[in-house]
Amino acid sequence: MSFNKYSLLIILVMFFTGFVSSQTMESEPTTFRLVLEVGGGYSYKLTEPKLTLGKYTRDGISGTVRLKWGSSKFLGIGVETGWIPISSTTNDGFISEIGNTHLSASLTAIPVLALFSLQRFGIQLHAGLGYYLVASSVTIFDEQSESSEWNLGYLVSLGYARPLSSDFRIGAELKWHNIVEQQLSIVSVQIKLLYQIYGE
Amino acid sequence: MGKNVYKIFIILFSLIVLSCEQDNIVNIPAFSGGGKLAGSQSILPNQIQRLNGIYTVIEGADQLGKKVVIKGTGNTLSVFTGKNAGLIVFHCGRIDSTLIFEGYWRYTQGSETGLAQFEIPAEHNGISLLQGINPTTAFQFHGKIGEGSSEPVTQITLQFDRPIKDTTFGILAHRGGGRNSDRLAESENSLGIIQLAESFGATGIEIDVRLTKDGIPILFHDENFSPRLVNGEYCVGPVSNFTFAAIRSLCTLKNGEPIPTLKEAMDVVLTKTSLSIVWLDIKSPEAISPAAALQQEYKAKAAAAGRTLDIYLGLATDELVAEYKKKNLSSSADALCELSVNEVRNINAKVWAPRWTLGPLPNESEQMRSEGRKTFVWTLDQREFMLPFFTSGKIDAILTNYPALVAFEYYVFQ
Repeated sequence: MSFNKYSLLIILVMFFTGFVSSQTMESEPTTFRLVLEVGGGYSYKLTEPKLTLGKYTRDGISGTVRLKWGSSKFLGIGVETGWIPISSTTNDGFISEIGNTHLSASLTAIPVLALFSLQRFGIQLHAGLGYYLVASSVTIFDEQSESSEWNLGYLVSLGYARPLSSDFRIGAELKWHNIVEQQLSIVSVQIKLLYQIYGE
Repeated sequence: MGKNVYKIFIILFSLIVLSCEQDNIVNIPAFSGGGKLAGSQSILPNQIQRLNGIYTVIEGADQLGKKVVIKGTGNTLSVFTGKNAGLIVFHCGRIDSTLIFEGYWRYTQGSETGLAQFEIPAEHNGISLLQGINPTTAFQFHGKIGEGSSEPVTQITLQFDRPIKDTTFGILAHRGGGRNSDRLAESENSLGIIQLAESFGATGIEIDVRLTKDGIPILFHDENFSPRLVNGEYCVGPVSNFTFAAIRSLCTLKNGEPIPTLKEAMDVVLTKTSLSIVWLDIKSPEAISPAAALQQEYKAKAAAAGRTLDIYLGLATDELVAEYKKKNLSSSADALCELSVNEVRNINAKVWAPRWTLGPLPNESEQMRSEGRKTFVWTLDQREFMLPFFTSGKIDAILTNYPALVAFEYYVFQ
């Protein structure tokens, strides 16, 4: 058995922040709220490709939509979806065993995750578990192959949000997606807007 | 509440992110500079096969068990041992009249391996074997085995006991080579593992057939691509969503080999092995017709080459049987049916293939035999359950992930 070094790091961060949070809880009245979060930013695929077939791009613009319900001070649950560009490859002079051709391929994912969050002093720690719809599109010899598959995965993220008004907050978040079955790890940094739909 | 939530989080994430990553690949050692074989002359396959037989282990029983089976195929000689489903695979040559055997040993159910080096000096039967005289019970086969890539030092002596009585029993390697593909740098359903199957003890192979989006039959087991079987991040989801050009350009098997077409696999079987049975495990109804066409083509090629090669379309589901019937293939395409004996008769399949857990089923197997059909059982890997199938005498072949184990048990049983 071997630890993924990223996994170990995240566990340590969670251990520390969870410990701090649990030790600093105060006996203030708890309120509950329903929050819509919309975020966008830069994502980067950490996993190295095993085959490189041309100009390889492993970053892009990702987006997140999240609906979260929970205590204003500590625990929240919700759902998350969005859009993650994973990688793309293009090669105008791809040499295949059949002949030379133009090759283009791309890989994207749409997460559908159950979300759990810890929050304190504007700092938010999120963990999500669910499925990613991983989609591949390949064009070679002018023929397109499209395919997709649901894969188990999880998300861990650390964010911060501060109030803009009574209903709106703005924040930023560092996210780490791990699509386990495809052995894909993606990090993203996103700016997000939080709108309080319900609650005090 | 906070502390409990925190604990739940830690437990949940520990379960998720702690994954087992096993690296089982065994690095097969080789003699530096090609060993003594580098300067040797080749030996003819029939000269190698004179060593075929059951041998008593005089020295080295701790490593090999009390008996071994020696069987030559092509220009390699394999030794199947009673311990840990072990095998020694030799390449053979001669320097003058001294026969040289160099290769590796390996436990197929473990990761232990090492070099192996045997010799038959000219004065100890080397000349007589070359001249066509079979070994007698006085014949001893001497050599050494080592640990890893270290020089072989452990003395092995094998004494000829008796010849192998019958080599027509089918030992079929699952997915081209059985679980050997887990430990060697050759992937399942690859051309490389097919070429090694005989050295593992197989006399036939089972391979999995699917169609690409553009109708090319390829060898691939799972319905979907996954990192378990392929490299190539764009290969996601059903195999049938991708054209052949996309698959061959964007995906490789786990050890980097191209995903072979059925035609390439059959070419290898015909030209680079002496395998006598190919079980095409058809994975989708659409694959039946193109596989049947290649079955006909390669049966004709084998016949033209004077080869005995039985090729069967494996039908494991009602859906596949329905398609086989619909295409009216029973008169032209030999089928292997995994369903009931009635269904076997219904489609006039040449082989009935029940699951081994049903037991030897001697009555049904006898009926099949009386009707001119064969019985293959699948997928039997446990030594302790093999004997009833051998003693029934009604089974024609066993599909296994450990052909070396079946080879040892069957040939010694005889």
